[in-house]
Amino acid sequence: MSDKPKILIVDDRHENLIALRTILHEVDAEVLEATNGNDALTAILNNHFALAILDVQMPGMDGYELAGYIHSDLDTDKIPLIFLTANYSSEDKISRGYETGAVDYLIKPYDPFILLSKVSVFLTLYNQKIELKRYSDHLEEMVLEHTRKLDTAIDDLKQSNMELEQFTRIAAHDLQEPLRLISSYSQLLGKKYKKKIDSEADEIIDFIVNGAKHLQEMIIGLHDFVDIKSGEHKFANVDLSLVLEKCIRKLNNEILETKTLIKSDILPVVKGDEKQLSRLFFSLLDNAIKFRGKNPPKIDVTSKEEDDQWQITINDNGIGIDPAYNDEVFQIFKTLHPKNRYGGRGIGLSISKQIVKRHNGRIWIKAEPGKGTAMIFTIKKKS
Amino acid sequence: MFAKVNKVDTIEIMLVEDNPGDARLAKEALSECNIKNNLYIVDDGEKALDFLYKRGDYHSAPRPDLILLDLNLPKISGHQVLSKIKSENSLRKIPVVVLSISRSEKDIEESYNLNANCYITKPLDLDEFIQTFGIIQNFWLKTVRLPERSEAL
Repeated sequence: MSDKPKILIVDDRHENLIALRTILHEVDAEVLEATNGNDALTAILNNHFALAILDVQMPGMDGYELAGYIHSDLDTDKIPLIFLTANYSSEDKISRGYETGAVDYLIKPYDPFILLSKVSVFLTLYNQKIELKRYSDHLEEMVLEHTRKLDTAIDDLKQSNMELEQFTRIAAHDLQEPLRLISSYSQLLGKKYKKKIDSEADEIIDFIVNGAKHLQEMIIGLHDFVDIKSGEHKFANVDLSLVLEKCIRKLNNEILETKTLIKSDILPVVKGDEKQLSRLFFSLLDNAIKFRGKNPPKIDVTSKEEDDQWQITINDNGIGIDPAYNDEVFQIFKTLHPKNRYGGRGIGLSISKQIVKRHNGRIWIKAEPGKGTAMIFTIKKKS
Repeated sequence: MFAKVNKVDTIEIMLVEDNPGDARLAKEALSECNIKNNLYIVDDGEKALDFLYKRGDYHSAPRPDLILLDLNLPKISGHQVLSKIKSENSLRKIPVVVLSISRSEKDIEESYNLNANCYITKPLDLDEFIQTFGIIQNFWLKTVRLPERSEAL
């Protein structure tokens, strides 16, 4: 099949058809012929035509009747028609042609040049329409294809994210068991053989015991991290003042030892998970005490009401943080100080961040070295 | 003042634990306690039930005074063993201490629903582990009063 646009010519007289065909030789199109209305309709049903040129006077079905059929079908009603008539038709007849959907009208004897120019206009229009349709089909296909790809990518990502979380959860859980044994048995080794071999052996045992302990803390931290990130949570009304009070009680020893002074606004009641919020406050207070300067820690807890959220600030007079690390400290296992200096495994703040995230809030730091640290977080009023 | 069991020279303890490392630690912890005991270790749920019903290799097994039960067991799970013990007239009076690494509320809830006498999360630290075993023994074998040893099966 050729890709050329098709033109249908309908005339009951062969000599007319031959004449038309000769003229249409000039255009780049395939020309199909019919000598009566019925054949013309059959051809139209079986082909896509760019244009049909109809003789008006034909025995049986005349050009107008044929045009009526063509334009009554949704598949073919867009085919432009050119009527040809030998009569000097009256205005009435011409308007009838237009009513049936004729786009153009030529009176015989027609000027071949005019016919050709009309035909080429329609062919150009047709080609442009085809091109446009091909383009839009392609575009639609591309959009569909991309949407499909995106959907698959999103599904894959969700799946792999879930698998990763699952993996971390299982790893963190199952690693605890053998690790507990390493830890317990290294302690047992110490208990039974310390001071019985030599000082180097004692030192080695200490390294094993401490290493195992460190790893245990990290794995429990990782477990908790995943648990808070994707585990269940119970949201209810939580009085943050009570949460703070409980944390202060839990930190009683540290507070007394370091002569810490804690001052607090009356804090709001928020919708949240009490266990998680307690953990958040505990971590932040614990850090404020742990990273203290030379003077006894002074901690200020303030709250500020904003449109749809509360902003809580825990401000201390401790050693502060270099602003360059303001974001890094929220990464799991990230610590800024040599081991043993302040303790800490780089778990508290990463878990704090997850807790705040689960409460649709944000947490950030305002601090300078030597000038204390302000830990600021928000909690949405409605979650 | 002491429960009847205390008059018996030696306490019979059954430990259901599939991890030899944990079993050895338990042995260690029990050896540091001041109550004379025979520790029987079985490493799966099926053997635990065989022991209690004196089946097969365990035909001459004693009736334990205390059962220490791990939840995560091969073949028959700890929960199933617990449920079996507590639904059996002749066994249900034996105190069962569930010892698990699980902190999950689901495991705790389910254990108590199945009438566990208590639920203990295995301590991570050795000293705490030993202390915990001391507490378990002191409480269940010295402090509480238990019914007299009932007839063997």
